[in-house]
Amino acid sequence: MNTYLQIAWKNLIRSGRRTVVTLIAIVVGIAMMVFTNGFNAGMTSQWGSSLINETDGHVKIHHVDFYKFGISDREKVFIENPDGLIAELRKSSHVTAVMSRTALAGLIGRDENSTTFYGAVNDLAEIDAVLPDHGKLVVEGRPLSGEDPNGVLIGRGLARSLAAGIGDELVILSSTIQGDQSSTLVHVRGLIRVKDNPQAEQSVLLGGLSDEMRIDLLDSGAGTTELVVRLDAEQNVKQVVDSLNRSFASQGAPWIAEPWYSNRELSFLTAIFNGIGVTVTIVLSLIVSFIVSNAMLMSIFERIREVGSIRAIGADKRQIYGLFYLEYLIMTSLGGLLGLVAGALLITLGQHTGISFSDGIFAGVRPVLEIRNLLTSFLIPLAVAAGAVFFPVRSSCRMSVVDSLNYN
Amino acid sequence: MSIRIASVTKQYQLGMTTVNALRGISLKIEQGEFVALVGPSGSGKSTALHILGALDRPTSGEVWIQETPVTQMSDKQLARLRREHIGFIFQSFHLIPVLSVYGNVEFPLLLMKTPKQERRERVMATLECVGLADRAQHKTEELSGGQRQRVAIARALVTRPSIILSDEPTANLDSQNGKGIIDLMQKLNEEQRVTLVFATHDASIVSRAKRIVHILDGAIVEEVPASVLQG
Repeated sequence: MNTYLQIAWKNLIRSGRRTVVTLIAIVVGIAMMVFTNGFNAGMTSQWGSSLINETDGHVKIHHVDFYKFGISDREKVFIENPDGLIAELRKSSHVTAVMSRTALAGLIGRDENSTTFYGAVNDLAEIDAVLPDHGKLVVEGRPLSGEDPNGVLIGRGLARSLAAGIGDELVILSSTIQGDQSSTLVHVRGLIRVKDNPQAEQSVLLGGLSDEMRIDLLDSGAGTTELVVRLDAEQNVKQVVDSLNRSFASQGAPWIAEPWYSNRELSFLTAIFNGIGVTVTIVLSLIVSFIVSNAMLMSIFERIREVGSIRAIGADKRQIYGLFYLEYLIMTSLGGLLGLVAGALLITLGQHTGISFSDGIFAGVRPVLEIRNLLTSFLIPLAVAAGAVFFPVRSSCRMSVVDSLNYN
Repeated sequence: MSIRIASVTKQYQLGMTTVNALRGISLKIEQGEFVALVGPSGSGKSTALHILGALDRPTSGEVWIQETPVTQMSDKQLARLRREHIGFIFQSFHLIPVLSVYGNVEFPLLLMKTPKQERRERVMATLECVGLADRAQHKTEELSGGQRQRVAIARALVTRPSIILSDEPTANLDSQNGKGIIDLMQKLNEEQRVTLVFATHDASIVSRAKRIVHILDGAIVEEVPASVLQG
């Protein structure tokens, strides 16, 4: 075995107890990092999949002021000729389906009960193609269907407020696109849940963009307030969005294409969880580096005389650094690899069992094993530790050879 | 290789006190000499030895090794000088405990990046020379004090240095082992013209040296050829 490796390895074995404690700290720290980041990735991926397949599609197209006036003054953000826009969208080979969706809000009542609601009505001819998993929202009853255009889905909380059940008829009071009062009759086809948002469940309604809706309630003709687009593959989202927005800008059109990942709640929670992930990584990196540095510090100061004798026979500082960094590399590589294996095992376990912190977006989260996560969890703490090890090694090299030889 | 020091002083700070370990000593040691630095404990002989061997820098004064001034050299240059030209033998051996006898003797050659085959040949030849070839794979902790000192000598010799500096090499050895070590060193001095400088109290070393330098309170008080004392 190479003599330098031999020195490093045998010194690690010589301080067996300290080495084991340090290794355990590295393994636990890196395994926790891998798992935390894997959980975050799993949660984001799961939520993203839910958004794409259940509610938002890959891309949404609407007026630039949609969020400002989408409920209060829909005329300002109305897409009068969606067919033209759809035809333009379909020029892209990546677009596989497009669905019209119109925002809706007002009062909803059954018998003596009434309350406010908000929601949207969708083109039922396209809903299965654009949102293949939209049925997963339904916790009771049946999903939206073109065979039952006046059947709507309402939140569980809203159903409780109205004392309504499956099949019950409801009156919707709203306004046309132009702002005139209007009303129509619908019936409850199913109850839905809104993940981790009980407040939204109190007032949400999803329905079909039926003739009754278009004529009686919205007076919207063929128009709508939003188009929901499905693409052939998720990796094409950015390219399609960029292309559409460039096209809208060059035409001076007031539309904007938004990718699924710009969803505000997703962005907000992803930012929080990324923040937690970064914090966990930083804290664990610091803890791991502190423990590694401390172990190395003890190891170096126990061997000051040895360092002195090695320097006396001609080792320069670079070679002393090399000796100790080799020791550091063996310990951290071994601990790091074991940590990665432990983290990967935890993730594999989590993928089989699912991890639930709530019955919503944190229900049955399947952590994801990503190469990027493994590299980050391995390299960041070890890089921080490498920096921390530098100082004790430097201290030992700064001491004069004679002082090192006489060190007690 | 010769060593020359001129007006060398060395001061240490010990708390609030300044200790004058060397007070302006000058000395010249020629190639192939066997010099013993003698004096009581704390006289400054070890400090002088460290400065002669480029292990330490003087507070003032000049040091030349083979007429090359070393006081202005960088740490890296000093390390190279020690690696290539100077061998050290310490009272407490200072072997690397995790390496075998072979590993300890090989180590200076590794620092010099000597090819593996040459390393093997030189290490084995040197161990043969100090009578430890059959102990090459032993751990140093399995050896007696005398054997350990022989390993330290082999380590100092393996790079074929021009100068060997030794600080009380026999202090931790019994008389028989001490004599063996001195015999070995003297043989090297005579056969290979290796310059030997010993800091010692040991009368048996002093009696073998060709020149004796007596240091007291950081100053050279007497410098005599051994023949004068022996005569």
